[in-house]
Amino acid sequence: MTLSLEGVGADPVDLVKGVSLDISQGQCLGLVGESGAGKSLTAKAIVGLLPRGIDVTSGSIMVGGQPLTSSQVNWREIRGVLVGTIFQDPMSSLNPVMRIRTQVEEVIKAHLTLNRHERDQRVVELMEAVDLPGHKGFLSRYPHELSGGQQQRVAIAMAIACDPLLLIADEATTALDVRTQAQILKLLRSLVDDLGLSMLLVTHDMGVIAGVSDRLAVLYSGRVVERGRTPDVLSNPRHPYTSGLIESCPLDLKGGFRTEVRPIMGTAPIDAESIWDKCVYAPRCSRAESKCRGHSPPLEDFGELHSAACFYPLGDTPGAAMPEGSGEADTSPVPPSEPVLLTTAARLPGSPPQNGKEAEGVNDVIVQATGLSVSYREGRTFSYSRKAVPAVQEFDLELRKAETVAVVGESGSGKSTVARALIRLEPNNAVVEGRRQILGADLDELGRGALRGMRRRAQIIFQDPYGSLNPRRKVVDLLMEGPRAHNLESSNSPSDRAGQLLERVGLDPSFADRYPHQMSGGQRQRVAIARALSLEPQVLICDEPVSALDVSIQAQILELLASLAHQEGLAFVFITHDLGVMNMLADRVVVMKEGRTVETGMVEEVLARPNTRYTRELIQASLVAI
Amino acid sequence: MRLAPGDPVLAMYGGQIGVSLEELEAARERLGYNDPMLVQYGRWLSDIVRGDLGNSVVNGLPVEQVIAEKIWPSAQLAIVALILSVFIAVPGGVLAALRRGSLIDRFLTGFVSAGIAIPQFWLGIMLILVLAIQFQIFPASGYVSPVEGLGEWAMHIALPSLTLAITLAAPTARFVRSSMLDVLSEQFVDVAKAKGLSGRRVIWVHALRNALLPALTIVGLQAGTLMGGAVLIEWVFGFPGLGWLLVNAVTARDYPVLQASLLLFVTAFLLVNFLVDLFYRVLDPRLR
Repeated sequence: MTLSLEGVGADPVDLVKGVSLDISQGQCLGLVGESGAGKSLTAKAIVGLLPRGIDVTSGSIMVGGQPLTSSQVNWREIRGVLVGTIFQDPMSSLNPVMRIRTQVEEVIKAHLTLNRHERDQRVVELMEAVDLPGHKGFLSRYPHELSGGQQQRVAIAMAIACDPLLLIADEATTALDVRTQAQILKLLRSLVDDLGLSMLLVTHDMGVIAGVSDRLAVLYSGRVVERGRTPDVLSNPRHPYTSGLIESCPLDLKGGFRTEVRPIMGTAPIDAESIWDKCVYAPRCSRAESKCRGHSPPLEDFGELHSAACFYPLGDTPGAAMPEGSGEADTSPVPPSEPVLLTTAARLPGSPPQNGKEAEGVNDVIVQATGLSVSYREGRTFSYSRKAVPAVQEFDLELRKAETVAVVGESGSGKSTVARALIRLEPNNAVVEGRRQILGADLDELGRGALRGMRRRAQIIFQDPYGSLNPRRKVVDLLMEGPRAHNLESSNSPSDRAGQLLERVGLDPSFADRYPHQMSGGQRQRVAIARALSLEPQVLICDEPVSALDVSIQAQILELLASLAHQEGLAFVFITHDLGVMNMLADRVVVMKEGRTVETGMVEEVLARPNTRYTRELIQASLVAI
Repeated sequence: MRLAPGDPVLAMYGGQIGVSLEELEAARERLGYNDPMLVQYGRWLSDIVRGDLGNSVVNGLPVEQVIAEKIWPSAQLAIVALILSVFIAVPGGVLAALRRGSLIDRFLTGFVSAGIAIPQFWLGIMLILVLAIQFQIFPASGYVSPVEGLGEWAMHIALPSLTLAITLAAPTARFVRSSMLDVLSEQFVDVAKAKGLSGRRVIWVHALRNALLPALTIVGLQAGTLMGGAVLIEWVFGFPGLGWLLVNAVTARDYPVLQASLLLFVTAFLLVNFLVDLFYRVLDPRLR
């Protein structure tokens, strides 16, 4: 089966240009790229689901010998029959008001002529194929009664209901927890191997690509910059962007965690209009020469099936990912910085904090939680019900100066509840028991004024850099609001102080005059960090600060946070679902499951010798190997 | 109402010659209209609890009986108007959402603005002028019970219900359009298309059912209001319903009828909205 696709474009701007892909039967092609690279558009073009206003302007798409680009294509005979599609968010993939049986059955009804009995049988078969129970009780459930993993399995069942030739998985596992993600990926791979399906796996996650795909294509700004067999490309990337992506990934793709990342500087171009006559990656590339800015490099072959679009490709030495001076990129707003190597230097050597408690002065303890439990009461008309649903139980934490503790767990483990409860930001219907102290002061005993003073010492950074900045205020006002509220006197003018803060987080002081919508996600998150720093806190609580960001940007922010931890002696509480991120930043870790602490310890210890099955599963699910 | 000049007694004896001020005063005293407002209100409340709504000041009939006569026509009008409005609003809203920015969409936007801006009574009068007087298709006013003849009933109810339906459909259509646009951008619509379902099934089965949920609130609110009769429309079309009764009660300062009608409207409004909330649970499995 050949599938070639060239030029998906919206008049007058080409969004994706000259993309050629082919997938043979029983193979999985990974299409990897960051947001805005055009990977989803490419996938949607195949099934004719491009958003209004975007059309395929040149080139052709063939599936199983059938052209899908002419205007006479009867999509109803293609979709579901020839090509099955799975989308990102499993919850919104299913119609919330229809039973799952109906939703699976209607695909069969639409394409196959089976009688009622045969249809029922087929539904049960499909459920078995995706490891779901096929009994009546389960089939008559509604989507909201299933877990995320089950929902995605139902979506897969719908996609393979009529034995399509090609399965498109568009970020199909991105929204899932790490263990569920591993299971779904395994299922997808088994469909390819057992049913001989061809699969196009669209993702931003190098780890997913490495684990599942046979071949991969790297998309950057609407162009394929490199493609080849997955092991070849990952172990010996030729294009600087591919190499950068690999280096940005907190996993080392060989079955381990990295302790350092080398972020790609700068951000992907937003305005795609005038980039086609040069190398799209040149502005971020450290190897770029004048030729790169004047000509567009064609895909050149580097061995069997392996090609890359670069005038100055990386050499043959395996693992030599980035040339020297990789941090320097001329147009980058980020000052060049050395790759961060996180060593145990900042950790207390040989003395796990629990044991060293007596020896160290109590003053060193910045955050302390003892037996912290949080539960939520359901709202009633005039009050809250007495019955409370526990979210966190018996959480203990002791955080010292310059120490970073990671709280890891899957969704619903209560880790975000912990983040908020630590600084008394829990919602009104929460019942908090146990003690929480910052700098020795019990937060529940502080009066209003004292609590405000204490809040200054503990700042929080949230996941969503879009939601956490007031869109109607300039950066300078956002940054100076806190110091003003706390009367932090300074001889410098507000704009000078804002400028200094921005420089500390690697932004140009000129950003002070921008509004949040004039910045990229990574820049906003930097501003959110600067805002937290503006109050000169002693502890930063970070609730998934990088999970909404692209891989290359994520690495930049991780680097920034690490340098803050090292250079400024800040203490960190790092809430994350990502063990790779945890490993890079944290000294100690608290593993949570369903509100309870299941394991604590030094990061290396826990990773090397997990004590509980749950932690072991988490680690296994996180790791990938080519 | 009590602040307005005049009272039931004056209205009762209004125009009659030879009624002395003393007689009027005696009547007020007898009917209790000289007591303080709070006392009158307390008396009214305690009577209601005992199931006594009082008697009409105008004709002395029990209020229940006066209202019961008018409920039936009003309910028919409300139901017919609601059904008509839904049949105008839903297809209109869906089509506008499907062809966003097209002529249909712009026409609908115009219709919505007009429907909201044009006063009901004026629209009613215009319809009478054109359809009843100019072309003489429908009767201009009155009401015939369906028992007496279904055709006649339909002819008489057509104009008032059409007028109502047009003004009701405007906000509903806008709601259907916007919630349909929201739903159409949801992933499960893409998924349904990717499953190779027919366009008709994607829109009318997958999308519409979800899009109607928010619109149901609007229809529910409208139904609640309508249960109290369409005051102006009934008056314009001389339609003997609750609204018409209300206007007459106001003119005659018929406090017992007026108060009982208002009580009925409020109760009906609450009841209908309660039913709508229950209905939601049927339609949306997530709320169960």
